[in-house]
Amino acid sequence: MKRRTRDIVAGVVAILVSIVVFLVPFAFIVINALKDVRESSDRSFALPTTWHLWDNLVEVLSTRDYMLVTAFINSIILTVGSVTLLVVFGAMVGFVLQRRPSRWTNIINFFVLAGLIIPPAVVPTIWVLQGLGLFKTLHGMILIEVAYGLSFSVLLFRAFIATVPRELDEAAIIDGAGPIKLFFGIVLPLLRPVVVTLIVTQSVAIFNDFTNPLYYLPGNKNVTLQLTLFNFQSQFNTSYNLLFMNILLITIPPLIVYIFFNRQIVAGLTAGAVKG
Amino acid sequence: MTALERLQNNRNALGMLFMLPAAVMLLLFLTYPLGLGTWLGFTDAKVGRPGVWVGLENYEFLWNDAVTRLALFNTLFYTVVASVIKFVLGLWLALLLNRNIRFKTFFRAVILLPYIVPTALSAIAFWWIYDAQFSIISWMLVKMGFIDKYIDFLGNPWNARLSTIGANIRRGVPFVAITLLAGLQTISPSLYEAGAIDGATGWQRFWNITLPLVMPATTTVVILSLIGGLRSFDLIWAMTRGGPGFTSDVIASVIYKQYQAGFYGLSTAGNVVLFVVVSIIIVPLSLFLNRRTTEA
Repeated sequence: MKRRTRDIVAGVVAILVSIVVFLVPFAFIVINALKDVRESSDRSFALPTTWHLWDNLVEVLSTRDYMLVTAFINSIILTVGSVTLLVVFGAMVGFVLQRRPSRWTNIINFFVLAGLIIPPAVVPTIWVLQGLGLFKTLHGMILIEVAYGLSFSVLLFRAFIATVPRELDEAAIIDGAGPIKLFFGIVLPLLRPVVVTLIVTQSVAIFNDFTNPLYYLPGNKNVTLQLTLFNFQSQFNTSYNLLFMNILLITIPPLIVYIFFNRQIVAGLTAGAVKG
Repeated sequence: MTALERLQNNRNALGMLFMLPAAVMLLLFLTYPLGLGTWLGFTDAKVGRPGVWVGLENYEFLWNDAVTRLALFNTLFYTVVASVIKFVLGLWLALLLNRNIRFKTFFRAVILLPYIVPTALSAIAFWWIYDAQFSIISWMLVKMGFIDKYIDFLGNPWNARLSTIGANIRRGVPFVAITLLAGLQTISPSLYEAGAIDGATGWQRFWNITLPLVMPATTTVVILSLIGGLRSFDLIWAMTRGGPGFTSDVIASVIYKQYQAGFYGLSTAGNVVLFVVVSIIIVPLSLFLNRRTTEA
């Protein structure tokens, strides 16, 4: 009986604390996104006296010639493009590293780990992009995101491919499958759970990335959603309702992913936990 | 036999081919820039002007520069304090979630939320929570009678440092908690039963069963949290821009400021310093932790 009470108390305390710490700031932003300019300038927690969902929405969207809409499209292209390449390239390297160990394997493993640690050298990277004619373009940005995310992707795939029985490969080879067919036809479909995990976690990370677009995508043409916020921050300095509406809009896509793919996000987070 | 068919049958060549795209990208966008950056750090390159070799001048400047020294201190302080608190809080949450408390699913979902929302949102929310005039924390404390004046969270150096650490902790705890929870769930309950039969106290069971067995998850969490902390930029930049003055600058924000001001040589030298600092801390630590893990 005593233990039971203690468990309930602990649970209630934990829930209260997590609500205050995790949900209050979010509620704050939602409430203030729905107010008019005057009310939002108080920045209080009170509910709005008049609701302005639609007005605020339209005003934010139409600011600077519908910059937010452009940014939305850019962010989607960036995310989809990068994640696709990350999955395909990561799976290919993970497959070779796991299935065909050679004297190169250790060197490659070292490079993969180094990829996690090396802080991006911004100026030379910009030179490389300029040399390729890709600076300030979405293509260049996609390549950068892929390069920065590849190590994690390779590690995830390598660990998972280790659990796919080798006999399966051999059976397929006896049946006359070439290496390319073996990989794309047999192994890749089996990797579906880890592919989903990777897609979900990397989509969220790239969609939310602020630092890299700040460096490699300056200017208004290829602005991403995260950058709009900082473009707008000065402009909406006095109209907090619009600033918060903007924040709310750019938070919606990750929230949708969160609602539907909760489980995969957890799986992605914990991928490294069990194997180390 | 065409060349393509021959290639298909040569498994070594094909292995190389499979790794080619990844290798090209890593070399082109990480390794080569790192090498070029190291060279650039020895020059006085500025915007619009290729640099001249100046030897160690940039490093001497950084070494003698009060702002950089403070930034180095801030980076280490920020990383260590945030990582320790994140680990303790995360472990506490994970242990709670691992017991059969009510509303577990709801609770886990709430914890996950800060991980999913853009950093920009966290930053702005905090920028506002810490606002000198409108801070909700100050408001609550005043209402409860703990203080009579609003706290200037971002306006003085120590408050700014601690406030950014607070924001980092809130953002980082979900990852720590969920990863440790996954580690905890691999521990077989029979071990605890055996421990209880042998008369181990709760504390002994935690110390001798839980902690050693959750070691692989701990390694992951500690290493990633330290790397993230040492390289952190976006939250700090969005909240304080290194202010007031330069007092809450970290290495990454100093690098960005120098880059923005056009001092490319100096900025990349700073980047090399950051790389060295991260390596000095992470490489030995990860070797040590991994050895502990395999022994355990």
